[in-house]
Amino acid sequence: MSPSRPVKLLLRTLRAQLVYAGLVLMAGTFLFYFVLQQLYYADVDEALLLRRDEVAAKLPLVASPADLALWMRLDRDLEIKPLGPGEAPPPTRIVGEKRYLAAAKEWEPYRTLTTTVPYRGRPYRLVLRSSLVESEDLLAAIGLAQAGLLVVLLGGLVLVQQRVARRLWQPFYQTLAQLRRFRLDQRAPIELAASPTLEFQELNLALTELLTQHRRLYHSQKEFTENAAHEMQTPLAVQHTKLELLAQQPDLSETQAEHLGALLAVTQRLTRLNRSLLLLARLENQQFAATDEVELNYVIATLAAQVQEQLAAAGLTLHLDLAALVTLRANSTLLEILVSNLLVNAIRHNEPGGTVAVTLTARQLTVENTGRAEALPAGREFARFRKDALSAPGGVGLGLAISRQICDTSGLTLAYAFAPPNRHRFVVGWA
Amino acid sequence: MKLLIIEDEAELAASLVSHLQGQQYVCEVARTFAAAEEKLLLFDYDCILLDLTLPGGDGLELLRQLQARQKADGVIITSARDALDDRIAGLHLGADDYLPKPFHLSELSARIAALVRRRRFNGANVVQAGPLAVDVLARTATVHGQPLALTRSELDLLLLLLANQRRVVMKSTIAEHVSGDMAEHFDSFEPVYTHVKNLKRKLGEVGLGECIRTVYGLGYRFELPAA
Repeated sequence: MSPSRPVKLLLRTLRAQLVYAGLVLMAGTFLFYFVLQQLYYADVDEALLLRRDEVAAKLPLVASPADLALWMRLDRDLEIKPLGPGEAPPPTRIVGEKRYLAAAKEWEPYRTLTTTVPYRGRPYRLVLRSSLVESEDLLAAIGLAQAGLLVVLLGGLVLVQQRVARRLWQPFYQTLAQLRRFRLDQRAPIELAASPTLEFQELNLALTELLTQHRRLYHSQKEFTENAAHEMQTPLAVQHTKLELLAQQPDLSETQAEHLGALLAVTQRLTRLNRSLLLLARLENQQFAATDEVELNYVIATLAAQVQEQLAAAGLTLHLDLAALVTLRANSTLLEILVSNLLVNAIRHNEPGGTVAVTLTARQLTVENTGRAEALPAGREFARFRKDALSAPGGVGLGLAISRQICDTSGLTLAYAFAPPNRHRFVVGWA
Repeated sequence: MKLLIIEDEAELAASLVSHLQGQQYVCEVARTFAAAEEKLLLFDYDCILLDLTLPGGDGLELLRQLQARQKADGVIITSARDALDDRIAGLHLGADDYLPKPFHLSELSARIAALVRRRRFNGANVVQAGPLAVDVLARTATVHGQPLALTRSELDLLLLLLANQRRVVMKSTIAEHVSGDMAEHFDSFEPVYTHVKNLKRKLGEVGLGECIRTVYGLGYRFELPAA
């Protein structure tokens, strides 16, 4: 079965309420009608019994069977007939029946009492009827009024219930909205609004505890990265200077010098890696709050000048197109690192004879380079330590991750696009 | 020339002393905030290497004290705390230079030499080595008084080598010194080779070509022929 669309909680309770209300309404109306009818019948039956006593008392006053016939003609609801020969005298019984009424041309309901009365020493069958026509109409009217009342009552209850429910659930929706906005790396701890309802209070308390714990874990993890990177700097500095001192030894053999050179290179790589990790951790901790007006043109021109030699060494051509004069409000150091990373990336992943094109417009900065005829893996362009066929050897593997983080921190966008056959494009955008 | 090295890491301090003593500097070491504070009160130094994270206090506080006595201009901050606020705060407080750890010893020498020159020779800033003279401010070099046509990078390279005479200067140090921070992102030392080759050729034209020796696998050494 396909998963059905989720339904709002309020709607679900409302549905259940409506079904129940409907059932009660229908059953209630019928039940009420039935009870009322029974009460009324009991009343009518009592009246019939009283009338029987009255008829039995008056019967001796009727002089002849002709008078009896006249009485019966005057009173259509009365019937007194002698019992047939051999007929057993009927006991007193009251039943409901339908009779065809010629005047109304309709079958009408009646209550009919049958009993035996003595007349001039012989048993007679006495039948007394009471029409229910008017009472039926009355009952229907009462039932209808009752149903109307129930509808109004239940409808009102549902409405009130809805209102109350909405207000009761308000803290829940508020918490939900806050949770949606919550980010692990946000600076302020989450503060869920207090609720007078015990359940919500408990929910908020549990959530606050959970989120605080997560935030603490997240921060301690980041802090750990930062501390680890920081603590590694001093040993690295010692190692580096010791190696440099060793390199000054007067009679180094070529092999020793070679080993030393390799050790120095690897130490520097470690230093670079460490510095990148530290920068990344600091970026995530938002430790670069200070911003000023940075002239992007100047930054690009300065850094482009710094890579001229590397461009020449790699046999690359740089196309600089700084059409617009752009000033951004950002941390100048971070912006420099961003541009520098993109430039370095464009050079490192290039091919001999290729090009690097830097285009600055009023809305975006594009750094495009020739390279492998294959796009970076989608969704992993900015991943840390990405190791695949497209990652250049010797790189730290954090440059693009840092660029991405800088953009996130500075309110810039960073997008990657691949233009066949072999052009890789990074676009930094701002509002 | 007297240097004060304020550094809590013993091994690092020892390395610095070993390196700088080889360059005829007299070095003293302070390894705590209190020791540094005392030495700074009692003595004058040509140059102070200041680490910012010290047991017993913040290096920036020492800088503040020095600034109050107008003595902050001889300070080079050498700190692992390379968060930029520190760098800016340090330079605001009058420090002369900022060298984030880990740094190259030859680079440190060049910075110290530049600083000492600035403070000692008030403007007349010339580095002399035998027949070779480099005017740092005018950015010109002469040999026996004859001008030597050098590019900006070659002049920077020459200054670095001169600040580290008779010592090996690493390729990576040259790369960063000449091309700036961007150099560390590239594995290729091609630009370094080019600059060294050109400088060597130009010095060769005035008979100083042998001054720059290649040290296999490591870098280069500048040494004037014994007169």
